[in-house]
Amino acid sequence: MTTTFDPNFFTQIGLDSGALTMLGAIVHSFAEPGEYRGTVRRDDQPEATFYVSVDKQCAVAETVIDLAKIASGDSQGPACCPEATGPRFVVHPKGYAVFHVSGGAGGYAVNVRRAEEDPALKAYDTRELQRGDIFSAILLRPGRYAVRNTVSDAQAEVTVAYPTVGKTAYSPPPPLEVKCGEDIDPRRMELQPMQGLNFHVEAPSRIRIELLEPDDGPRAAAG
Amino acid sequence: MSDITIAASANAFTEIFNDVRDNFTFSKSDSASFGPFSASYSIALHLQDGNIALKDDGTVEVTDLEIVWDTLKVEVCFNLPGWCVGGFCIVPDPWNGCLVSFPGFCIGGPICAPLDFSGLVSEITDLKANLIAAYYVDPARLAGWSDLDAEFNGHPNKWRIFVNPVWVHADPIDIPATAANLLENAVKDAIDALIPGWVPGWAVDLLWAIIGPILDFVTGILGIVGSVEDWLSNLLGSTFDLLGAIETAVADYFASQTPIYEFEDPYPVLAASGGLIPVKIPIRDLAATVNSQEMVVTADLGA
Repeated sequence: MTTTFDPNFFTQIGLDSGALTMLGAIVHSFAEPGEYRGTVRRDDQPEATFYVSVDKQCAVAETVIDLAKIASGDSQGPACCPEATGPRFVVHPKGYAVFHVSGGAGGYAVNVRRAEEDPALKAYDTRELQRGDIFSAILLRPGRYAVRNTVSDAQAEVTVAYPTVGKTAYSPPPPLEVKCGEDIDPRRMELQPMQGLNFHVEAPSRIRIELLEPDDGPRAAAG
Repeated sequence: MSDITIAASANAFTEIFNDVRDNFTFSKSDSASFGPFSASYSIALHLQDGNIALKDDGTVEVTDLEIVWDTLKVEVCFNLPGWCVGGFCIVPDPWNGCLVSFPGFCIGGPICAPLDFSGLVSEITDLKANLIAAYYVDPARLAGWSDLDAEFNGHPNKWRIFVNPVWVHADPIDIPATAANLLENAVKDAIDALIPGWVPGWAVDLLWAIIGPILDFVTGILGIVGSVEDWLSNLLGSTFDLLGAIETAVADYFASQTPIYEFEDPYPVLAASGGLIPVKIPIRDLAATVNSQEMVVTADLGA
């Protein structure tokens, strides 16, 4: 975990699976062994590249790919491969790549294709999540949100409760599991503060979450 | 039988001891890291009061000698990863564990809680000592000087009598029960100071909700099992070994730094006058002891 007081953490209220920020992450399984070349994009412009080796001999079940570090040039990849032109990650075919943003304004999308390009194979692009992907989100700001799959136009609503200081330290409950495809199930969700939201993608999706109505709790009542 | 015997009553001895006691000061500062936290202190103290008893076995016993902590400042610092967001499971494994989790963020940074207990009083409950005489050759005295040269230049040799502690016991520092409140407030202030002004109100409420009751939060981080005051007392007294340092400083001060009395050697019997040099007699085998009534100093004359 990183320690941060990054303003983006508190000011980026909405989320978009096609433009990842700090409070969102995408989990993807490559399934097919091979060498993959990824491009980190922002506003449709490529920012940096990285490589993923999907290797049956590798025991890594989870490889965390920090898009902010790759884009800033901080991510050097493993020390094994000094000849690599970009950061290199390794994962088992049954394992998962986790794309996330550790800091900054974010807004990243990822495009991944075979390192040896085959026009017959479609590239994977996080701007349109595929079946099996998971978009994981945290809604920090209390209030009411609209959730929309912009591909299918499925919609749902989430309410995030206002935090209260209890007799013990608050710990959020386990994340809420949501199906997302032609529909979003459940359509109405009640979240506790900082409770995670895991969207399991069942059909092509781009998930956008927008704040409809903020809840300022007792501060609002106090004027 | 000694050539010279001088006695000072118990009351006179007490007066002499009190003068020496009043000149004692001790100051120290230190810091150390203890894994999840670090701590530092700054102290300055002096001694006051105390009951003095002269014993027939040749010892002096001082009880209830008070340590006045003119400065007793402690600062406890720790990294505040108190607000961790994320870290929840996205893909569980078949064994009720987690295969993939959300990369979390811990919001925070280093904070320090300063505590000021200046003015506190604790005790050296028992100091037992005998008297020792030591011969002092002034290091500023030049090798070729005679005793008269040394006197004229203000650097004569001396016999010195010290109270030589053979046992010093300082009580644990009596940190007041309000320490818990002080620590709680200091940590709250430190956290308030850590939160940038631009953090929105809902986020501040969220942060405090995660922290929960501050005292529970702090005692968890610092690993405090019992009371805060006992923990602080133990931190200062034992972990930093301040009690040992004070006992050593007191013993060293009385035993070798500050004599309760000193005699010039050779001892001036008649001051210089009328063009005549002073009359001085050499003192040897000076010894000092006490009985229940008085301090007795004996010495012989002669080179």
